[in-house]
Order: sequence, then C-alpha cells, then structure tokens
Amino acid sequence: MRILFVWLTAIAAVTPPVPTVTTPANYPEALLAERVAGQVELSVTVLADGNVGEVAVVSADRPEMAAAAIEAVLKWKFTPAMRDGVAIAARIRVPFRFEAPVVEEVEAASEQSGGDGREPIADDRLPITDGRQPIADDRLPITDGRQPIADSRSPIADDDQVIDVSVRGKRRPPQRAVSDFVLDHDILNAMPRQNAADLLGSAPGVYVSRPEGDAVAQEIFLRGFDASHGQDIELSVGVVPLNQPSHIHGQGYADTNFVIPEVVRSLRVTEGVYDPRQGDFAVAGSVGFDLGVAKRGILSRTSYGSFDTKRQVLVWAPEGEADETFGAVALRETDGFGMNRGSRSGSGIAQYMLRLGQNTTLLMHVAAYGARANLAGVLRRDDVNEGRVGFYDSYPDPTANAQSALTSRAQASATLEHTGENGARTQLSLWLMQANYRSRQNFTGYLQRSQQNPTWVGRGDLIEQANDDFGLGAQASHRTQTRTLVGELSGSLEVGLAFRTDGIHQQQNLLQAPENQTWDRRVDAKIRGSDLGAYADATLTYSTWLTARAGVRADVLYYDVDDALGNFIPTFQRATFIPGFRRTALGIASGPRATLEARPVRGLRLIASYGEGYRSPQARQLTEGENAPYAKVHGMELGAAYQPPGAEWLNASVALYRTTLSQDLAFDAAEGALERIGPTTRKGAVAHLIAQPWSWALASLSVTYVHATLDAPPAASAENPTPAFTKGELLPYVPPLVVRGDASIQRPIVDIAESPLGYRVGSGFTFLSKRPLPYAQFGQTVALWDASAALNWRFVELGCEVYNLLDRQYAASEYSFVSDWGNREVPSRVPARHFSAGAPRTVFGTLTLSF
Amino acid sequence: MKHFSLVFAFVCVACGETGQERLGVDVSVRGGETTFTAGLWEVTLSEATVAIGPVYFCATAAASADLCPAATFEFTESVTVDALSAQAQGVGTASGVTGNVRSAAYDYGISWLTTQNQATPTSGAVDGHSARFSGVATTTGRTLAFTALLDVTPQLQGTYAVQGARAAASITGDTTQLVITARPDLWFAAVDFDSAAPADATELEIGSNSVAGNTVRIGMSANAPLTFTWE
Repeated sequence: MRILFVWLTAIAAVTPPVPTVTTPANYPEALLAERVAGQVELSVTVLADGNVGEVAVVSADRPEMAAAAIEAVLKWKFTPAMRDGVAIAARIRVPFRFEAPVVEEVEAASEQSGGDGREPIADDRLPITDGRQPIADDRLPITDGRQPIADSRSPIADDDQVIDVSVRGKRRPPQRAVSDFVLDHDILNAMPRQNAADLLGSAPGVYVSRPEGDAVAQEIFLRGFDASHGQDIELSVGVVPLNQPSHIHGQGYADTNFVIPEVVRSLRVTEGVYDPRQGDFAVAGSVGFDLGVAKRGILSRTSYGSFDTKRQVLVWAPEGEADETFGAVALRETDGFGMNRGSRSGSGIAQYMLRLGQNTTLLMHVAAYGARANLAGVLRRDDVNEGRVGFYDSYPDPTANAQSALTSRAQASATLEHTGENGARTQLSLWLMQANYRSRQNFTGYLQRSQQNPTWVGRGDLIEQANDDFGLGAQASHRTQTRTLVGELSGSLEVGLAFRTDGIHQQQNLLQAPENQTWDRRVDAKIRGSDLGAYADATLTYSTWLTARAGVRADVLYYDVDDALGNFIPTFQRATFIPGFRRTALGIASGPRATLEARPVRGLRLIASYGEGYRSPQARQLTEGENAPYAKVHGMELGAAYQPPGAEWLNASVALYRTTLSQDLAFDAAEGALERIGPTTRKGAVAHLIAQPWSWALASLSVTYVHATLDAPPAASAENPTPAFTKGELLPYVPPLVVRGDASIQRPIVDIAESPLGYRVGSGFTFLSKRPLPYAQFGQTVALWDASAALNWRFVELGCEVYNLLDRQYAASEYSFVSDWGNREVPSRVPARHFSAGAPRTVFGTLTLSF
Repeated sequence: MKHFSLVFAFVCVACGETGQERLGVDVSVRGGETTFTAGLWEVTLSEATVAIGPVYFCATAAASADLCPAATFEFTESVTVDALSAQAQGVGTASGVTGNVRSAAYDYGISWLTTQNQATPTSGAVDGHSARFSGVATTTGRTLAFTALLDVTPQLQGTYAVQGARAAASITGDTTQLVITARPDLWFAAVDFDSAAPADATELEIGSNSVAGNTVRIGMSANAPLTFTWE
C-alpha cells in the first residue's frame, strides 16, 4: 500500500496525532472483477490512548470500499494528539483511494485471496499522487496551507489532519496453481520461528528439519519430495538464488540460515513447476523469501532459553524509507540439546531502496553469514534401544566427537525496477555470492577402506567435505502493458533472461580423529558451471472469468570439470599415466508451463496447471560430451479455491497433483552425499484452510497426502550388489501424510497508563506419518506441538516460546544403512535404522523492544 | 496429542508397501557323518566342536567386506556347535530382508574387524580357536588317535575367514528357518593320514599350520564350506 501522509500545520498548542501502525487496506475482493476505482473519506477519532475510536464515513464511492477502509483504519495505532503536553482525543480525516487494478493486479489479488487465503493487501511500495497534494516525501508531513482546527474548549481536536491513503493490488507474480501460496506477515508470525527455514513450515505439505546441526542447511520435505538440502526446491532471497549447483554435500545445497526471520515480509511457496520464471532445482517447487520491514524504527529482540541458548537480533528500519530499506543483525550461541551440539552463528543483512523518479526503484542488498557447529551425528536405533547410547547423545568415540561444520556466505545484489502504465514492468538484477562449506561427518562408524592405500582400514569414516563456490549472475525481464486484443480478450507478454556462473572447488577426504589426519582422498575437483535461461510468459484474460497463462522456458547449462583424482590408479596397478580426468558437457533443458484459471461463480476459482522443469546434474557425474544431463520433471495439478461470498474470512482450497521425475536422488550414507535412484512418481492431494473470523484471530490447517513410488531403481551391479531399492517401493524418507495447523490470537487486555496492555498467543501442530526407509524399514511418526505467548505494552513485548511442548523424543531425520561403531562383538552388516535426534522441549524467553 | 497421532497413524496404515519385508528366522546347525573314509583310512570322529559365526548373506555372487557392503541377511552371533550331531541344534535367530541371496561370508569364531589390529577370537570360539576335533583313524594294521585344534582366520583386517561361499536362495516372507550344515567328515576326508604321522605313531596332534591342519582348514573354508538351507 502506498501511504501518503499529508499533515496540516497544527496550532502551537496542539500536536496532531501521529500514526505508528498503519495496517493497509485491502482492495475489495467483490470488486476485483469490475476493476473499478473509487474514493472513501473517513472521519476518524484518535483517542487519547492512541487507539482508533469512532469512525464515520464522510463519503464513499462504493460501500465495499468503505468497509475495507474502515476495517483497515480500526487497526491503526497513533501517538495521540497532545495539547500542552497532555494527550487528547482528536478527529482526523483519512481519504482512501482505491485504484482500478490492472489485469495483473487482479490476478495478484486473486492469488492472495486464493493462494494464501488472505485478501489482497495494498501495495506500499509505489508512490502515487492523488492530484490534490504535492508530494515532498511520501512519509513526511507537508502542509497545504489550510488552517487546522484545535478548539481548546473541545475535548476533541477536530478534523485538522488528513492522512491520504492509496490502495492498489500488490504486484506479485500471478498465481500459477492452487498450490501456489503466498504466506504474508500475519501467517508467518502466527507461530514463533527460530530461523528462516522454520517459516516454511506454515506452507501446506512442507516439513523442515535440521538433522545435521546449526551450521548445515536444513532438510526440506515438500509434497512427496525429500528435497534434502535443496536439491528439489529452488530457493531464493529476493533475486539471489540460494541453491548451489554441484555442491559436494548435495546437489542444489541451499542454506537459509543466514536469513533473519524478523525481516522476512512474505514467503512465496510454489508447489510444482508451473511458472516460466522457475529455473534450476524447481522440481518439487520453489520458495522465495521477500525481505522487508513494515514496522519502522528500531527493534531489539533478546532471547535466552534452554541449553544456554542466547540470541540477539537488532533491526533498524529508518522512518520515511520503504519497507525494503533496513539493516539487521542476528547473533546466536547455544550449548545444544545434547552431546557435541554447541554452535555459534552471526548474520547481517542490509538493504536500501532508492527511488529514481516516480516509477523507478533501485534496491541494493548485502548479506553476510558465518556459523560453526559441533555435530552429534546419527545413532543406530538399536544402540539406543539397547542402552548403548542415549537418545540425545553422540557415540563416545573420537571419530564421532570430531564431527563439525563451518559455513559462511556473503552476497550482494542490485535490482533496478521500472513500473510503467497498465502493468508494464522492466527489471534488471545483478548479484554475486561467495559461499564456503566444510563439514566433518561420520555416518557409518568404521567401515571404510582407503582407496589410496587399501591396507588402511578401520580408522573411522570421518568424511570431510569442502566446497568453495563463487557465483555471480544477472536477471532481466520486461512485461508489456496489458492490452485489449479482441472484445473482452486482453493480454500481456513477459520475456526474461537469467544467467549464473559458478566457480567451484570441492574436496572430500577421510580423516582420522582426533588429529584429523587425512587417510584417504576421494574428491578433488574444480568445476565451472554456467546456466543461461530464457523464458516467455503470456497472460490472456477473457472477460473476468477466464485467464490463461502459458509460457516456455529453456536453459543452457555447460560445465568444465577438472577432476584431479579421476582415472584413479589402484595401488596394485602399474602407473602408466598421471591421474586426472578433465571433461566438458553441455545440455539444453526446455519445457512448457501453462495455467488455466476459471472463475465460474463468485468466490470460486478452478485452476489447472501443467509444467515441465529440470534439475541440473552433479557435474562430477558427467562424462565427456554428455549432452542431456538433466533430471526432467513433469507436473500437473487440478485444484479449486473457494472463498464464500459474504464470508471472506474463510478460504479453502484443494488440489490433486501428479509429478514424475526422470532421475531422483537419495541420501547415501557411505559417501555422505546423494545417489541416483532412477525415475519416480508422486500422486497426491492437498487441502488447505485458512480462517480469520475476527481481526484478532487467525487459524490455518493443511493436510497433504502423497503416494510416492520408485519406478525403476538401479539394478544390482558390481559397485552396488545390494541396491537399497526395488521397483514399486515407496520412495524413501518421504512421509505420505503431512498435517500442519496453526492458530494465533492477538488482543488487548486492559489499559495501563492510557496504553493498552495486549497479549498474543500462538500454537502450531505438525504431524508426519511414518516415513518409509530403504531396506524395508519405516521410521516413526512425528507429532510436534509448539506454543508461544507474549504480553505487549507500548514498546515492550515480553514473550515465551516453547518448542516440542510435550517433550516427545522424535527423529529429525531417519535413515537405513550399514554402520559399525565398534561397540558390539559381532557387527551387523544388514542396513539398520539410524536417526538424528530432534530437539527436546525447548523454552525461550524473549524480550522485544520496538522504538 | 497422542490421540491425534494414533488417528493419523491409523489413517495412514494403508499408505503403501516398501516392496521388501523385514523378518527373522530361526537358525539351527546340523553336523555330518561320524564315520567316513579318508583314502585307505577309516576315520571315526568322536568330537567335532566348531565355532560358527557371524554369517552374512549377500545378493552379490562374491560376498566380501568390499563387494558386499550391505548384507541381505545375517546371523550376528558366534556359537559353538557339535558338528557331529545329526539333530538340528537351535543356535539363535538370523534377521534381514526378503530377497535373493547368492553368496555368504562368515567366520569360524575368529574375526578380524576393521577396528582390530589382529584377528581375535569371539565369544563362541572353542577355547580361543575355530574348532576342536578328536577321533580315531584306522587302516590295515594301524590305528591312529588324533586331536586337532584349528584356527580359520581372516587374512586381512576387515575381511572374513570365508568369502564368496555359494548360498543361492530366495528368501520370502514365508521363510521361517535357516539350517546350516557343517561337514567335518568332508573336511577330514582329504587328510593324508599316511604322511600325517610317523609310521609307528599311534597318536597325532594336528596343528593349524601342519599339512593335515591346512587340509582341514581348506576343507572348512573352500572345499567343503558350510551349506545353507532356507525352509
């Protein structure tokens, strides 16, 4: 929402009220089809305590607009008017201007109302003049020469102030499927979040765990995909992609730990690949973090809690600047919830949005992050059951206690955006990124034998992985105006380019603890990987009830691999050449994306979507000249979203989907990396419900079911005589059923010193059915309940957050493989269940100060 | 909370199959013949105490530590058995997953784990050895009482005493029993008693490194390894 504050000069004795919280108005859902503009003028009484009292409609072009304006202004907060230092009530005028949304905005508004269940919110980023008042600064008061009224005899200062508000549908990419969700601030704040990855948990079908500790990327499960550290999900922060191609720890590794949740304004979760803008790794879908701080000023949040965990966040959002302008820093330290789990991390993000004229902005972004953590690793389930090791412990062994990870990332970007008339938009972005990763993990104990010297065995399978990646890229796109083509048929076209190139150096060794001596070398490679993508995306709208979006995307990916340990010469073989294997490969991946949306009756939207996407390969697996090295995904979805007319507080959606993937990946404990498991198919359904019956109460519930199977897993071979998977088997690690529920309430209790004392409580519930594991195993169900409560008064909020409220012992992740930790006379060689423990009940107290 | 979990777990009971099945089967050991011939000698064994285990069954044709990183089935115990008993002796339980196995790797009570500097007797070892035998060999005009205390050890750290033994079978959910058959009669059938002891000797102590001992050990590990029957 664009907010234009116009202040009239107050007489000397009276200081007018100053808005501190301005909840944006929503463009009325009922008027989306008509696309009408209009104005509403309200007379608003600001009470002495800063709350809004009586609201009267002075004028309104449409009653729906009046209702939307009233609903918004009732949530506003003010610093009250002051007379001679005493707070008094005051009446002000607040004109709202509702602008006719263009087609794209209608889609955006529809997306918000259907996608995330919320009504469209106003765009506060675009300056709009109303023709009546000059704009000096859209947030600073200016005078218009009119005389204010401040009747010293009256308890209410009358109509001496105008706060002018413009309302537009916020520009977002059109919704591509029913399962294309935008989670805005209200939903993201319904539950406490320790980190940015936790925010993802509010999206239907998403489960996030952190099985490998604080300095390793989260593991994401999305609608039938074990996306591991990001292999199947395209993640981005603004314009900067997070996925790292050919990462040693997992293809598409994407660490969101550097994102400070307090500055995440919204989250777009697209489950499926239906948008031509989705590129590499958008197999299960894509996630985009939108950073911004709506509440301006300084925020300090201090948390202390279980396991001597300390967290400090500072956010500075300068007044008068756009939401996108802020600086934030977060520091965290913990001893961890069990043996060998301590960690430290620090993250900083700064952004500045520069307005270059009325319709052009330049957004600059920088971020840096560093973290180190000790890792407890995995435990055999039978060792825990038989009392050899505690559930939250690590094996009492040097190679287990030497597990750790260090990661760092720095990135910068600049985005130039020009908004034209009637939906036209041009954008150019540049970004660069440096990411470093080094981990030491032992999954299997003492099974490995040195390849360099085969007599070396039993020194501990402590796998050291190192990955240094410097990447840079650019994106450019242009969207035409929406034009009327024939009769009621209108349309627009967007074309775009995306390019990235990465220079990667990666190594994998075996170390012998505790001195961490190298006793085998497995990988030492330098990789240059590049991706040039182009897309076209057309939108056609017929009347107000039918919209078709269709596009195509093609990517050219090329690799240059210098594998220093390739063509390995075994010790028993006479050397006739120098080890090393250099090769190049190039391939093209292309596919269509299409969405058809019908709005047959008011409140109901039917959306059919189809798309083809891809995932790039791990470059070291390529052979010389390979030209089709992609995992191809075909996805389709049929869904419906319904918002009952007259009951806009309720939003429900349901979708059926089917996804096939030509080459899937699964975790291989022996290498601590991903292995190919052949083509897979997923079929399922997702249902999502959001209800906000009152402005102070919000609840959401999602249920996702998937039947994911292996179509043709690799057959037994000399390298792998006992493959873990058989045809028709359930896809490992993927929970067939995921349920997520959130609820929050935020209300005032009582006035203290003329300021309301408010509270908020929130609760979140997550359920995962048993996860199938390789070798005929099943994991355990996961059922978690989190809760939070807080009291707030003026600028202070004191809160308490409890994670895993019922203190259930659960596995953050489960596996099935062979291990030997030397703790039994006769080791087992049949794959056994292993797990990494999830955190027990964790309590934090949080003090938040907002100035 | 627990009720929620149960409800959802119930709903998902029919979510799917994994394609394989975990199962455990009873393991028993049968012995071989007591009396047999070895060349011109008639041999009667009075004792054949053998340590067996652990045993790993693999899908590959040549089970070994390197070629069989993940076993399909396993008997992770080391037990002492009477290899002269025709009756099946229950010795424990083997566990694994259904599927085809093609070979086996196993130890005779002495294992050399990856974490050990040398081969080490396990709890089932016979006085710290793989097997103890005693018996009488008779030929025309001559009787030789013999004893043997033998070690069959893995050759390399992290390997097994017997690798790649044939053990083809298809293990299904209906499989309930694994019968291991040890044939000491076949192990001793190749012993050359004529040269094993001086012509006037009436007693013979067969050591692990003697010719006769090597013959028996080769019989145990290569010529007449354990056989496995799945029922």
